[in-house]
Amino acid sequence: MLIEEIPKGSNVNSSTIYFTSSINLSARSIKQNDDGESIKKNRTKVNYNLTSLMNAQTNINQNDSINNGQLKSSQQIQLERLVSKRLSELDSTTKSFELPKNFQYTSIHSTGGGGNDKSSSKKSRLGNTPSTKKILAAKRNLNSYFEEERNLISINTILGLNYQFVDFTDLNKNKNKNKRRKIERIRPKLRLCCICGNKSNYTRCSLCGLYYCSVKCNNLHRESRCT
Amino acid sequence: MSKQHLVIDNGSYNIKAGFNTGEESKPIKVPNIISKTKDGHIHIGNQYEKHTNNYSQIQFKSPFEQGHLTSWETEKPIWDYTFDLTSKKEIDPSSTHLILTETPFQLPQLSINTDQIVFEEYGFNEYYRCAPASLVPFSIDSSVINFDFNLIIDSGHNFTWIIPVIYQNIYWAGVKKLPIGGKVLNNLLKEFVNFRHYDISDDPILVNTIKESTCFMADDFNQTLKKKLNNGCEFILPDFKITTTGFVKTTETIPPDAQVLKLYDERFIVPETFYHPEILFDNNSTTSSNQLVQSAPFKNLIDLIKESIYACPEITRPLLSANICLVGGTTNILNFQPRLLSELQKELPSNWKVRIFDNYNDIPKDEMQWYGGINLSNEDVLKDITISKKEYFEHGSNWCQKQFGFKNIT
Repeated sequence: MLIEEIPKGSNVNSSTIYFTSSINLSARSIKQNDDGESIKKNRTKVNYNLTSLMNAQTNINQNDSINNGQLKSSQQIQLERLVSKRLSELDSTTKSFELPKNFQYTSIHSTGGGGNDKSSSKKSRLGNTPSTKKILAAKRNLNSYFEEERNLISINTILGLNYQFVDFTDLNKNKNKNKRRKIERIRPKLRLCCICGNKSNYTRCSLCGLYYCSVKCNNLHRESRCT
Repeated sequence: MSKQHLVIDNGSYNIKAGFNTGEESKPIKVPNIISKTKDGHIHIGNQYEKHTNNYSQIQFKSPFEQGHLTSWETEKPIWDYTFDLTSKKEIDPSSTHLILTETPFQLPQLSINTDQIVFEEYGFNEYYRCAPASLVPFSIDSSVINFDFNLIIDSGHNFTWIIPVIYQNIYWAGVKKLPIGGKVLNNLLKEFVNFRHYDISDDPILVNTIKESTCFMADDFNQTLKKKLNNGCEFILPDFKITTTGFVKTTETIPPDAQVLKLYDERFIVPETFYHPEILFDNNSTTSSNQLVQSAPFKNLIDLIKESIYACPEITRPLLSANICLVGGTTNILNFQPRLLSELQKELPSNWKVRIFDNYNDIPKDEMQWYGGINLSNEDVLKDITISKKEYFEHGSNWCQKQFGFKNIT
């Protein structure tokens, strides 16, 4: 089953992930619901199992552990979302601005150079052919390009690279106990006090989770950073 | 007119461009941005430097988004500007061979856009496109470094790529990416300084100057942290009388009314993210309170290098570890190479030789790829891998992408 409805309240701890979409269909629940309470919502949420849709389309689903077309657990998806949010926060520079409509660069050769060719520099933003005209006027962001991309394997490869450095260990893992994972040691994490920057291995703010190293820093933290 | 070779290393921080003029070829560097200064003027590349020396509240528009070249309407003027700087005459694309770099694993549609611009808009006669790392083997000194087996660590503005290059071809299955680069470090430093000292978020150029002049990689992080008071430095902020950029205080002569930024552990905690990526997620209210992020182990640079080496054929692994090349602007952080060497030696098998190169006979580390492109343009092999305008118009852009694009790892 590729598309099915999932009641909103139930926390399904399955290995598949359901992407909700708020299309206002009068879809009925296919599965019988055990809780029976959350069906009464007016607006039903249709949920797409994106991973299996991908796998169905690209038929790479079985026994290929290198590929990221594998089913991901919900925790992994959530983790990736958090990581990418933080990374894009760190990636953004200051406020960006829009280029003015008539902005163009006029080549120095066209004015003072005195050369014979003066044709090309005039139309610097217009584009010579229909396809380049389209590209130069696109003003699209990266996400829209990703959405348009048909080849899901390449998207998976490209996006998966961003999370290569997140070593996802399933919190309730048991199945791959006797695999290599066991041998890999886990490096202790570096914990630094959010106020003074010293090491802080044991203490952590109960409200916001930031680390601190002493009572003094904790008091300062409560006054300043704690949300 | 005889054929010319133009090499463009289209980095997201600097464009490195220039013609092959034999022995004395030298790239010109243009910041790959369009900027808007406080007074509303718009500048391309490094034009803003001539316009004003007060860079606060400067705004940038970059053609890149997460390392992908998305916005050609921004990139086109910068290229035009760069071409004007590269040659005295207007360049004639119809007799020019272009070698262009783009990020590994570019989205195919964006690569196709690039090809279309190159052929249809500019009309270059011949064209070769590749990932920057694959050009590095052509510029290294082959008497010191083996150029058939290289592990390129390319730490640029956006990301750090770990790319095994075997026989001058990228071994795609071993390519790893650490999403930490100069920009992330800048923003992290900015957060530290904003919280502890002054608000400098208005002035990205100042942040970059502070990073470049003060940050260093600690030899032993724990020891350095304990003695952090010995590792302090004082950075004089710009006052537009003595200095417009700011500088590190060296002697006792300090201007009486200068604003001083005292930096201690920020100097080495920020670059430490290469070895402890969890620093990125601390001191941030959404991620630090989340159990999932806190419990997830993160791989650092060393883990990814190991993975990359072990993804390669077994017989090449010791060869790769003995020929590691550091390129890219972020590897200019003080003490980058010694730290990496000592960490890698601990992790790799003891009978493997580990050699990490970061000194290439006066070629700056961020220009290695460009010089590689120049050397490639002298080679005969270039004939076989380039695509001419005629072929492009015959076969179309999808075919072009098939020739140059990355192959999916399957």
